[in-house]
Amino acid sequence: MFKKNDWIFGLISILIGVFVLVNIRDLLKVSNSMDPAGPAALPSIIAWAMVAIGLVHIATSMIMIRREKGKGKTETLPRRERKSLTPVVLITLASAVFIACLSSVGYPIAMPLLIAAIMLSVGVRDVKKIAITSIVTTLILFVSFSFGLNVDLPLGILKRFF
Amino acid sequence: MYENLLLGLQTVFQLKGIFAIAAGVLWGTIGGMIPGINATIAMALLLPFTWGLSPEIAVIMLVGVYCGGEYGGSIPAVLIGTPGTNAAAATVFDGYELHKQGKTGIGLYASLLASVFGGLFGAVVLVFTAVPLASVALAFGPAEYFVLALVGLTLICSLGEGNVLKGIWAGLLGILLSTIGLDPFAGVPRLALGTASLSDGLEMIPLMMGLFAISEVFRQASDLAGTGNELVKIELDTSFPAWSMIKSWIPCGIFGSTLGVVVGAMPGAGATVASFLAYTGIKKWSKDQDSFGKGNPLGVVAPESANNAVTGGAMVPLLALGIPGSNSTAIMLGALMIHNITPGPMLFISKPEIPYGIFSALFVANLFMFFAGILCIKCAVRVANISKPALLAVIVALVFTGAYAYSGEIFDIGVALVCGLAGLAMRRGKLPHTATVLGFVLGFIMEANLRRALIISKGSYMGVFLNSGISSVLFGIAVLSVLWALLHPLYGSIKARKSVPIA
Repeated sequence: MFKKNDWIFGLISILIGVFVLVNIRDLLKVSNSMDPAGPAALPSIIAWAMVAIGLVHIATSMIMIRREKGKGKTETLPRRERKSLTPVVLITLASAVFIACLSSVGYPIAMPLLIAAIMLSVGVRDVKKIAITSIVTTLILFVSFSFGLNVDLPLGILKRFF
Repeated sequence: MYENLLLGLQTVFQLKGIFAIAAGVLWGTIGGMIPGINATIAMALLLPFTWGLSPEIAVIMLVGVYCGGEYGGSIPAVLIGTPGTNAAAATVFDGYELHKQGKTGIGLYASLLASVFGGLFGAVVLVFTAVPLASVALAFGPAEYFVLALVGLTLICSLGEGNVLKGIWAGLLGILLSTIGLDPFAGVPRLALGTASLSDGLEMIPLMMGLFAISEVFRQASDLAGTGNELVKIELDTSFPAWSMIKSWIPCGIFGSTLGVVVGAMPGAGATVASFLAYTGIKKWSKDQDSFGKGNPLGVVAPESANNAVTGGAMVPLLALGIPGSNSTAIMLGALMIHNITPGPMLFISKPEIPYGIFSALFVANLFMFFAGILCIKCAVRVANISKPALLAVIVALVFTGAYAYSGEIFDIGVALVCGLAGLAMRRGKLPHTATVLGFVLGFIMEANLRRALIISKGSYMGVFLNSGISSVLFGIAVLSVLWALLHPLYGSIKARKSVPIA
């Protein structure tokens, strides 16, 4: 059921639990006779449960590590694991830039750039393929959402043309 | 009643009626396929076009959109692991697994056939039991709703991939996320970190698309790196399943549909709750529980039959009591009121062609849905068959556009991205993000109803659980489910230890 590296999960769980408990401490005072539970009841129950689950995982993980140390076993993170995170980081960065620029640059410009960036991050180097995919996809999405579904997509600097 | 049913059939079987249903079903299915556009939005978008139509034609057109919209969400759920609608979230678990195994036809047609079956089942039940069902729905108060949500949440215990506590933790995270924003009772912001966007709470669509679709894009992008950007393509079998296989789905379809009708009749519950409850139920009662989440067609049939049977059930409070139980039926109420028609018990006497037209339209719409579904499946399979890197980029573009379209806020694109990263981390940490979605869906229903029930019982928790027969029975089921999930693995390991022969 438990694994040796579960202490990482346990630590994150405790941190989230403590973060929630700190954030809702002011809400604990907000209650009245009409609402016996109050707004802080459920978040605090969940936070305490998360802390408890975190402690269980840290404790069991520590026991397992101590046992393995006794046997003289060590383990390092495989190289493949680290390398495979590169496209995730690149896509995240491209998406973050897209989100930051969307309102100022506009959807018709920002979206093809995002699509191109994603394709480049997963290793596509065929410029023609990238250009066709990004332009056609953006065109279809823009027409369907803007004209078909009446969604006001951000136009940014292109606003005067529409 | 039979005379009125004939009147309803006459309304539907005229050129205008047939065309309205066909157009409605097709529009609904396409709308449901697009992430961010659910049945309600598809209906709302069509509403202005119904003003010029006669009331009965306007309503049967919306019925078509409603049926198509509830089904359409399952197509992207199976093909790209992105549910087009909230109600199709439970279809991802096994539908997308079937697609990854190359059994795309089984996944897609299981969802289509189950949806048609569920829709027809709901329509039949509606014709004969509209009024008695309405009284059952009225017997459900806050305490019963709370315990019903609790029963649904017990599924999280079995999603932890060998670690029950991780399943529970992921579910708790979902409930916690559902508490973000303005407290519905006290009106104070909770966990909003002082930001205006978070004060409104998190929207289901970006959260779900992030956890399911963006995290899957990240996972596949990781796999693509270092494999020369083209993975080995799996041969997809998109053929229609054999009758012997379809036959084995029928009991599951009946179970999901029955649940869907009952849940649909309860105001406020809806298709998403029905599909998750159906998935929970079928998994619990299956002899082969381990196969769920790994491509078991019953994991597609149960939620899909349930969320489409909801369409029939949801009409019960609207037509019998004049209360819209869901957003979609609220739009239908709006369409009727535009034409000066007020639903309620008197409608069956004063304008029988409207309720019986809706009953008949549900039958015809579900039959049309079969053909519209086949058409959409053929097109969607082609789109999903483009090269992997292009598909990943298109999914991100679709998810971000859908997340923005749903609320008109760029913040929601950020939510989808953050949830995608969280989903990837959860996959790596063997935390079931399905449990998080389930917690998020049921969290709000659970908390709001618990607090309402506590107000009624003057703060007594025992009063909440034991004041009515329904809540007591449901609470008993929930407790037994949790105990079973916690003790079953323990019993299994003790049994395994005993059976090891002593050397």
